[in-house]
Amino acid sequence: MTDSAALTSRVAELIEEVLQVEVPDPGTDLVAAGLIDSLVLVSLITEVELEFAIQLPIDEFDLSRFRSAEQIAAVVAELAPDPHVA
Amino acid sequence: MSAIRPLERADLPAVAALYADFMGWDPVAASAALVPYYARTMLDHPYADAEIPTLVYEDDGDGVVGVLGSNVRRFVYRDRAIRVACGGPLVVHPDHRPRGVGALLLRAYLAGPQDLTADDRAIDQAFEMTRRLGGETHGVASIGWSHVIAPAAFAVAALARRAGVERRSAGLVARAGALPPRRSAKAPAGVAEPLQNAALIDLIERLRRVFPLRPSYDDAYLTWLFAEMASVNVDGQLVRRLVRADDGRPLGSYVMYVAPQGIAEVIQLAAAEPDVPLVLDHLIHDASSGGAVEVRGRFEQYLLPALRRRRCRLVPVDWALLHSRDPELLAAVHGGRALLTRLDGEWWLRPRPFADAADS
Repeated sequence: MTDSAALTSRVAELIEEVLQVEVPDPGTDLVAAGLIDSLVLVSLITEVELEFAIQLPIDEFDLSRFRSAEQIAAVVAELAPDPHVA
Repeated sequence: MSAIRPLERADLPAVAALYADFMGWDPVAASAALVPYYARTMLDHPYADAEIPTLVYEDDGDGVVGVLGSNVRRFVYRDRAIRVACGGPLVVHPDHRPRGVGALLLRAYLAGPQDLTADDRAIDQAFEMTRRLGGETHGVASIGWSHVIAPAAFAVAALARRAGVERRSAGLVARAGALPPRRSAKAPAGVAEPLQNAALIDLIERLRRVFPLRPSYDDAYLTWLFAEMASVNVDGQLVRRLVRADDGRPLGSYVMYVAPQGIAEVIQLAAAEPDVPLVLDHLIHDASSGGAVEVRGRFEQYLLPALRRRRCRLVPVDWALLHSRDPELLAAVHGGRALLTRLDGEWWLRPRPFADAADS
């Protein structure tokens, strides 16, 4: 498994744990699938920050890049020096 | 890219339209009143703080689709100046709510440099969002109390509210109010006089040991505050009094809205716990004299013994929420060592663009 795939898998696991929903596919758009609303988004942001020890942007948080496990993993990879050891 | 940024004057029409839409008001008709109202309360407020601004969410395609108002208050904790931020209103266009715009605005606001964030008018969704973002419930202040002054009129008024015929039943409530009240109308000991700004500032300084965390008012701010509160006038006539003991010593003060044949809503009662009963006696006497049939407020730690003795009943109120990175400040609030009341929140801040519009 590549680093990218492993990170995506970790994010998918986190989503399932936090949201108590099964991620059908790492590329599934969670908003379009109706799995994310305001409350869930807050929980997800907070949990991703804690899990990967990163600070997601405050003022320019790009929601369009936070819609699937793959996208979230890409954001984490950008912000975390080494997301695998966080 | 869509982004959160401070409110600018040019955004006011869009913000007014958002709120009018949320309230079901005609945006064009409401805008004439809402734009200057938001300019006064969000941009030209005496304590407006560029570091803790009202935030808007600007969408690439749709423009301003969300707003979170910022009401900054100056407090002191012991001798340290601190900033308390009261966030509200939080309004998001319905099309953008599923995208979490409200949550992102709240997250950005809580990340600001304020020492303490306090919300006293949170609905259930804001309550959940705030808690998930590390905030907590100000438990005591999330419960309301009620003291019935005139039981017969109270019962008629309550039935009228339930049936939605408050205006048509005003005469009946007034006639019921003429029946004997629950308690003697005898004036309490001491004297209640109009509350001047200097007297409130002096009183709070006297209470510094009781309330290490307390507002740091000045004359300019109080002048603005009371003028704005009087103009909002959604809940009746603004009444503010200083209560003195028979020897002239200031004991406490109160600020409330009194609605004839309706409810007197307590905004602030400031007094040390041993003096609360007498100040409360004056407040209830004053509300009764103004024709109110019931007095309501939210619980504060220092009010509990006096309210318990009066056997006040519990009533629902909005959530009171807190958020701070300083555990000492949170401990001061939860421990009853803070004078943090509705006067310093945004509970009373309700625009009313039409004379007969329902409030929010």
